[in-house]
Amino acid sequence: MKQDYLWDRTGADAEIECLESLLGGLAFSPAEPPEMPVREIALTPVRRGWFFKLSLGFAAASVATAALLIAAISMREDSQPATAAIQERPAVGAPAAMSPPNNEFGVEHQAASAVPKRKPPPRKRSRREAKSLPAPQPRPLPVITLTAEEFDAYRQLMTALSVTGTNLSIVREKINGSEE
Amino acid sequence: MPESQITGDLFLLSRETVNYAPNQTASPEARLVERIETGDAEAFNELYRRFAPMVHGIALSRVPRAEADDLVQEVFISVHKNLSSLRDRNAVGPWLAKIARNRALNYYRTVRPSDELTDEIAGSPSSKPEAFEILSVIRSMPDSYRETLVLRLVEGLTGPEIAAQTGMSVDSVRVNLHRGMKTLREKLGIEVKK
Repeated sequence: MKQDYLWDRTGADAEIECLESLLGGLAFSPAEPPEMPVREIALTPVRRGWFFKLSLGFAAASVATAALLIAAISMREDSQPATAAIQERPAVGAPAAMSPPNNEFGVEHQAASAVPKRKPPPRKRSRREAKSLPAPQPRPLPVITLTAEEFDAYRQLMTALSVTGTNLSIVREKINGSEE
Repeated sequence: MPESQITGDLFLLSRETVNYAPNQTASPEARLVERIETGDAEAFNELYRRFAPMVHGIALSRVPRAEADDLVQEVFISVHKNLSSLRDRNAVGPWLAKIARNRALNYYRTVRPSDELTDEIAGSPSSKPEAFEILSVIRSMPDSYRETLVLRLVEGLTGPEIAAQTGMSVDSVRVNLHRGMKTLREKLGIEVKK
């Protein structure tokens, strides 16, 4: 029975019980567990070269310029509804119908009342009718008539966009080149 | 049924067995570890309550009492930081015991002899001087005996509990307890006779 008490406390052993009572004062006293340490994630800033910063700034400036131009055009259209109308008409096959340009830029003025009416939807054809008809011709591209100022703004916008695209491609090539 | 198909079915069965086995044999300690990894503070407290006496016993069998309390805290902080390095989640206890032993070894590598406090100075007022004498006798015994005896007589763990928490085999714990107790009796008897 003595051996059992030492192993799993079954039975009794006065000697071991005396030792337990003496040494029990040195036992672990339940204290507050340590605080779970907070896991810190170190964020190291990525260092960019001066060329990258300069290119990025230039590209951002170009994009901002383009955005300003678009905003200016839209504001002008709002303020001049009578002269900012756009007329669609076929460019191919009807050159005689085009009115001659009335200014040095080769663009046309058009009244706001000349906005084309919507055509009614075409009626459905039977299969026999569809077979007898000739093959459909490609639809001609629409011609948009602009005022001189609008045309100027449009040209500036296109120039700005092309400059922006060129800059972005240069930046991309530099980045790809530095990574390689 | 062709032989290749039978072999394929057997292979599928064996794969399923392998996949489902870990979930079925996950111990409560393994689930605790999983919860701690998700940031569950209550699971960490539960792990502390369950294993702190064992870690304290291992520390007390090697370092002075005042240092043992600090060492317990250090071990559990280290556990939280290095939980990802635990390979077998079912063996948290043996892992903790190993960390405690290593920390105790490091204590003697870093401490200067003049810094060390004796147990009697560092002990609590409720502890009797005889207790420190018996503890010093136990500490003079081989590692396997003193660790098992401190866990049994100081921390109050039973033999099966010591085996389960430290990862030692039941037979080893039984042998260490009985031989260690026999040696302790002899040493204490010699001292009494003197």
